[in-house]
Amino acid sequence: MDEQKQNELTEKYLNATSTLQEEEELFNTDSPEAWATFVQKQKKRIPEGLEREVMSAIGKKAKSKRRFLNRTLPIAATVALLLSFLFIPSKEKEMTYEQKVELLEQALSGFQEKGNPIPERNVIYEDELLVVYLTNN
Amino acid sequence: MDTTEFEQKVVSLSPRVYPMVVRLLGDQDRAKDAVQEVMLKLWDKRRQLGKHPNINGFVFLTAKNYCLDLLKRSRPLVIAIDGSTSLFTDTGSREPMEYEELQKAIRSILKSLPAPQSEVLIMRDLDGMEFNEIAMVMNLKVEHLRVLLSRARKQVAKQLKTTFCYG
Repeated sequence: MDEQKQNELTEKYLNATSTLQEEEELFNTDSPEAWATFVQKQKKRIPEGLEREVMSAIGKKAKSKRRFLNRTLPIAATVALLLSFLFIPSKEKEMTYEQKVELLEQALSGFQEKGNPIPERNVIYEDELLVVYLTNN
Repeated sequence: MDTTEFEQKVVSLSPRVYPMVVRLLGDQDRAKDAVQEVMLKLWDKRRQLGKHPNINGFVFLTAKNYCLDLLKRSRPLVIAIDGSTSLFTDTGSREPMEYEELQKAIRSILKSLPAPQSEVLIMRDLDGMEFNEIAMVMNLKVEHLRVLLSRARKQVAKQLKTTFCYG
């Protein structure tokens, strides 16, 4: 790296406007700067295959979770089914014919009294086929 | 977020998170396990993670919190506010005298800086974190970070210059 470029990078570095790549470039030169020497010596060697090991651990975890679900889900489903038999109420008993008639009559009586009362009839003529009457309405 | 997306967006950050985790835990083997644990924790949260506006920052923040939890559980918390406990103890074999002196000088310079400044400087220069990632970890705005970092760098350069003739 020529001197001019190094000076420019150093200025950017001191103003904290340089990028990580530029800083890397600056530290990698045979700079006599004490800080650069220190930074280079402190660099940690990244263990080989770190990412691969992490992915393998994640794979194992996902697999064991799946296995756990595969084992527990059928048991949970069976328990839920059994509980549903215990707690869901059985069908109500069906009404007899007499009860139904009684209920219908009750309903009809209420309808006639309140909704449509039978008017009072004043019969004028009546035979087998015909009835003639007057009402107050 | 499906497995492929998780691998591309989150697991791929493992090598970048690793330096910070080593620095906080002070042990490379422990750091490797910790990174794995952090990724497993994030895997469990992958649904929420997919909607996060700063996934990288969230990954770094989770890793930092996990390390602090580990340290809290394993021994009384003796780390500095910037979490730089192992910065000077993990150099491995015996270093030449000159480098030992340099370490000593840098240790005292970093101690003299305000905590947020030294923390930003360490995260950026030693852990290699992007500004948006540091912003998430420190809960600060990027513009503010740049100011802190610039002050810290200038101060370190100035003090090193007075300590070492070549600095």
